[in-house]
Amino acid sequence: MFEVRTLARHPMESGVRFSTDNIVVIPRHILQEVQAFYNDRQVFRAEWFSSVASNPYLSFRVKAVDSGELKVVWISDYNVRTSASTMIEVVGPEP
Amino acid sequence: MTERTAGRRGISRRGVVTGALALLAFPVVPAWAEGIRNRVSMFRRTFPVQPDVADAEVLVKIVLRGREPVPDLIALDLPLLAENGDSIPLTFDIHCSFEGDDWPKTVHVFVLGNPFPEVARYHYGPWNGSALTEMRFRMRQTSDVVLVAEMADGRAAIARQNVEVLLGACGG
Repeated sequence: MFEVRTLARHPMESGVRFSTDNIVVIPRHILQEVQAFYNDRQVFRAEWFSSVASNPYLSFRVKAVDSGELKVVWISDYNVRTSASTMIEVVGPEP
Repeated sequence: MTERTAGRRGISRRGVVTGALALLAFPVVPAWAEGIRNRVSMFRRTFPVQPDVADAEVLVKIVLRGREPVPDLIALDLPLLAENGDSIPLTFDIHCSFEGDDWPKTVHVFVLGNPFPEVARYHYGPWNGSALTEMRFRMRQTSDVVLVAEMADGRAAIARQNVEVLLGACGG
């Protein structure tokens, strides 16, 4: 089992804030979804809503099976996808 | 002249488009359901809405679907007092073996005092091995934080803790 720690840089505009002159509501712009793939198989999914803090930090656990790529994808309100990936190397047998 | 006669016959295209837009903006829903709908963040609309704890409790009930919650399943690590509501750390774990049907399918996080009470949903599988998860969220005011875990075998668990917020986030 290993821990995956992610930090995205995003304003996470919640859509309930007024602009500084109190006239218009700043439209919502958040990361809606985070998906994690381990060797192209989805192992974790998070749905996020307005209340998630800006520059969102997220950590979760995945069971190590075999060496390969772990890829995390962030999807924003406007369907912009950003991903980060790393190689996982499994050395010992399962305890 | 020709344009005028074209506009006069039957239902104009502009009329159809305006009607469809009006339906989209004001769909026919009963008044009590509209209050709940406006609190669901998935219903993506930008408007200032005031927090309502009673409406948030209804959202928690909808997720529970009448199931009796199992005690002592969720471990919650959350500060009792937060000076600033902009970023409150949350760590939770589900006490289960991750064997057979004993793993959490979905964990819902609610903050009852926020305009949109639903904060996040996390989906797991037997390949996770542990549901230990960390995140940070915003809080508008002092209120309860509620976690609902839905297990793969149909059980549900609930954990609740009050967090005192000295300076609330304007977002959330």
